Amino acid sequence: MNSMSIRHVLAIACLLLMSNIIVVTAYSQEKIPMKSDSLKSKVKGGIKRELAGMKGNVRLPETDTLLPLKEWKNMKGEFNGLLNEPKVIQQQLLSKVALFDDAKFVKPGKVNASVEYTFLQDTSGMELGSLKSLGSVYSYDLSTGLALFELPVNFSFRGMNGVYTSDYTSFNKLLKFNFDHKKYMQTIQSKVADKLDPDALTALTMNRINAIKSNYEKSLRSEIETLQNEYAQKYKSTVKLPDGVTDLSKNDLSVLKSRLMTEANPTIGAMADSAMVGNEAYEKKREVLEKIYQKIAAGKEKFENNKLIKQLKANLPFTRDSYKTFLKQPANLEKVVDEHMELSTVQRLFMNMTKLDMGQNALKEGDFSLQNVINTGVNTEFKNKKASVGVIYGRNNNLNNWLQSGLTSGVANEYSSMAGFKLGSGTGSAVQQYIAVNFFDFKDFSQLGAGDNPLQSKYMAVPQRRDATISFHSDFEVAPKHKVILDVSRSFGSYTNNMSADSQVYKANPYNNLVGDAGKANYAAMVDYKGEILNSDVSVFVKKVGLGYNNPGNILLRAGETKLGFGVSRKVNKQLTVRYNIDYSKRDFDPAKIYTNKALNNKLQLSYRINRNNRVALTWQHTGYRSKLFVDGASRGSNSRLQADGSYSVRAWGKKITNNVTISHQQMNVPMLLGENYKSSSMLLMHASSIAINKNPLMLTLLLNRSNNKDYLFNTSMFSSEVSYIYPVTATVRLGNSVGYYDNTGWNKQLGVKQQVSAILIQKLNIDIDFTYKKAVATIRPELANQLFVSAGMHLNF
Amino acid sequence: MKRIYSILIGFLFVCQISYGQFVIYFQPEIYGRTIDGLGSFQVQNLTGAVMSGQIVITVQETVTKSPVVTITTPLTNIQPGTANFPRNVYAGSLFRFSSNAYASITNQTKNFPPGQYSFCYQFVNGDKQGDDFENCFDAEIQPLVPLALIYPADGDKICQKRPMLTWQPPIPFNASMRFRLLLTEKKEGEAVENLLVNAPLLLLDNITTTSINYPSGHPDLKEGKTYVWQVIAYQNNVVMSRSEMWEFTVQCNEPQKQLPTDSYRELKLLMNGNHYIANRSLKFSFQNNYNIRKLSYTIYDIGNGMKPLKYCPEVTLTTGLNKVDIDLTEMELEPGKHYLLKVHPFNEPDIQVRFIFEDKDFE
Repeated sequence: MNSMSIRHVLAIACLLLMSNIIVVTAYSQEKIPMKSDSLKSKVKGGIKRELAGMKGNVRLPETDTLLPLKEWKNMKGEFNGLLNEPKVIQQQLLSKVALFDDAKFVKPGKVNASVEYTFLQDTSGMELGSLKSLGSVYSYDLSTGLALFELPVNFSFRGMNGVYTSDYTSFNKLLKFNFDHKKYMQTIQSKVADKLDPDALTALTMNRINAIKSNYEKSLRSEIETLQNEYAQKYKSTVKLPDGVTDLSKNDLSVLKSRLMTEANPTIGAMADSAMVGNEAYEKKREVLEKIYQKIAAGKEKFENNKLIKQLKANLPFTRDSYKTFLKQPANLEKVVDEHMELSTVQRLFMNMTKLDMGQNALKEGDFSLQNVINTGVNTEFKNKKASVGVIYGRNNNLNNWLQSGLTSGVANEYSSMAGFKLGSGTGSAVQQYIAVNFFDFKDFSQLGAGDNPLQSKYMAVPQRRDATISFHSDFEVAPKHKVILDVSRSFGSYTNNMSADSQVYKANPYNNLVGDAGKANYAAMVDYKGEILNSDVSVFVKKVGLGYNNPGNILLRAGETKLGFGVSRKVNKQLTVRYNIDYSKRDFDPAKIYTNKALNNKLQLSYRINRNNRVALTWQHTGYRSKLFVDGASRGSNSRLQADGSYSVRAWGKKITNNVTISHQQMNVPMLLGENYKSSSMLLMHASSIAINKNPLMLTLLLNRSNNKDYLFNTSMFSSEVSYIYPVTATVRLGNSVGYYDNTGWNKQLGVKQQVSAILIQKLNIDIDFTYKKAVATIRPELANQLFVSAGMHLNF
Repeated sequence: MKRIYSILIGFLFVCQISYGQFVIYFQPEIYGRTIDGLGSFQVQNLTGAVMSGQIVITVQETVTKSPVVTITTPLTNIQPGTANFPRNVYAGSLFRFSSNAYASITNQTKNFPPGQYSFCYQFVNGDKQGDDFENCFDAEIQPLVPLALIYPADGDKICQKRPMLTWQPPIPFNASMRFRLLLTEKKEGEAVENLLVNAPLLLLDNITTTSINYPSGHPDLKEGKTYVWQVIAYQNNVVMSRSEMWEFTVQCNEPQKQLPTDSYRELKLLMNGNHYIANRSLKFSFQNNYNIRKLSYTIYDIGNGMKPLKYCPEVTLTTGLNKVDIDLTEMELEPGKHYLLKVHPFNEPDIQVRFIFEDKDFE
């Protein structure tokens, strides 16, 4: 299959845009038409009422003849001020405000350019092994942030020698293009906050509340009238009600009841009730008033429990802070923008385009969807209040050529291309859930093979096939601070037998297995809880991956594994923090359950902070396992680590010396193929001190390692001591000088020097050069006796 | 009788020659784990002529006697000599899976579950008059508990600029297994998966042990930076297991706390203010009319009997108006407590400022 060109990517992007436009229409939110007249009248009415109330409260003094006039003038000024402010608010409510003033097509952002070069003289091949011919590595990265139609996008072009070079690699593997939705929403939030007065929004919200209230009141009045009419027809008398009893904003129900009951018997006096005893009309009137009271109370309850009213009231009054919090909710922001702001169609569309990644991008879509992979293609997601839709298409880009060059991948052959879609809930939903379907195609195409590039991995033959997964994810809060995540997935697929005519009989439909049982145990599920219990952060999870579950989108999933985990973290007091995690896993490797592995992992961390400069921590980790990896006999093994570390500061010569110390012991005991156990033990002691001399750091590092290994250089017992001092020589140039002594048991004793230069040139160009040379003073093994390491980096920001 | 023996021996010799004319070599321990791997075999054609035919591969689990899969390659020409079987020919094969648990799982995952297997490679001659040849290989496909990273743990914050990196090898561990380690820097906002495409900061091959000391020849890891690492295990140049990608951050000191950016008050004015709230720092302007290079000042702990605090940070002055920032975060002051700043200007009376220390983050 040919590599995908930029043209394809752009074509797909256009297609996605088109589809998203359709989706926008389909899932468009309910838009509240701007009823300017009614709104205007309501706002005006509200303002008039307020002013009338204020004017009514103004009492002019009666005695002084001149003073009142002056005071009245002052008050008039205040009234005008009050009148002007609502006018501005009114204007904001009635006309839409342009959110972005400047309508430039492209606004360039900062450009960052970096070139890094590393040279390693590896005389023995000990370090680089089969990559020895590499010698030096250079990489480059050119990135910039742009605003296209005010949409923030990041663009980068990067590569390196050996891997991702412009001559070996298709162009779109070197490119990365991302729409920055988070930044876009933050920009909109701040612009809305700047341009739309919170008071205007308060007025609007109050209008909406009052409109709903008047509906409830209207309905209530109609019910009361029915009761009044019934009474009037039967007893030829009216049930008069005090003014304002149907006003649902009144809070004191006991006052309301007493006012109503007073209406039943206007005669004031202690004997009044007894005088009316036996009077049917009176009794019925009391009954009717009681019913009216019940209706008012019920109506008030209904109104106050109305979901929308609660939602609207929750944000009132809009102070500057609460306004910002309100706008942080995507659904609120969208509503405000739709009603009061002017945005172009594209700009509005991208408010809901939560993801648009093109080129080479990492994927992190969940354990049973796509994870631990790099996609080269397009990945997009549209999300509005009601729903979300995502589409992904890409080619395999998971070959880690640095790790796999010269080797044949025996783990799994990666897919050649994939496509998928996702349907889920919107921002307005309390439960975030989606269903994702991904298809993976495997083909024997050149990029997976051993090409001319010596750094490319070799791959085995890849018979053509198609695999797929269908995954469901749900993420919800069962209560505040108690979150549950549920994932369920099923995999299916088969070879596409397209050899020749005689294969027709066996030609399989890769999707038959979705409902069939051909892929035995081809499911996976996980339940994860995270919450706060008794002031402790608690997490619990259960995960089961079927033996036949196959998800090429996450090759690190362990088929046949059942895992349970529990974790707790508690800040006991201001200084002591305790964390404990335990998990147990059981893995069956085969259907007959002959081969199994059980592992129990414990980790305990205690951290005690004495103050900012002094702290200690203790970590213990142990994994024990019991395996049956051979037909005959079980084996046991473990690995454990105990580490104490801390930092402390002391004063000497009036200066503060900051120290960090680590003591760590590790032990490993794992079964080997031929029956014995591989054992490894090491002890590490590290002490680092730093002091400021003339405001520049002087550092001393001591490292001692005791290991039972004597063969491999980077794991033998060793001792090293280094002193380094970093200081400026001019305002723009800093130097770092280091000297050290290194003693590797069974290898060599070396003296080393290191020189670092960091310079800032023309304020925008940073240059860092590192030069390290080690000379053997006692040679036991000539390999790596003298070592040279040079690295250089150049970063340009403009 | 001797004649009969001679005929029988001669017949067996001919059979051996006939059998040995076409040989298939396959390493089940390495390539017998996956369906794709079955295509990695060599054919040796000793007939001296091009042979046309198909390879039929049958795999059976011998303990449960479950037939797993039969793979039939397309018709192909096998040249004389020894060569790898063409991968594109194998890729076009016909796959027939049986109906049992082993076959279903293999069909679904494309990997053989561990077990005792018999792999039979049969050459079916395209010429019906020609001979067929077969080689079978028995092997136990053992499970492999995958390689797992141990230290630094995922998401750890460590204070070692040359840490020891440790992992658990695939189990059972084979002495001929080697490891390759890759460590790259994780830039801000990047995902760990970028390790797959970033340039290496540390790349070590041929590692024979399950931990390494960060090589002293390489530059130190930098304070505050995050690194991603991954290890693979390989044997006979075939990748056997890959670890997850883990990240850790080098952080010896607590991150510097944000200091306020509010304006500098004139120190004289503070004489009247008894309620100056100093959030992490004292900020004031100070007129230095003399050639004094260092600000002379003392901070007293009011709640502790006016005990002067030790180790107040040094404040350098220039002649004229100075904007002074005294960072209080390193002085172990207690939030909410009252303190007194006493500045001793040269040739002028002392200035006293009472303040309350706060340690709050900013919006």
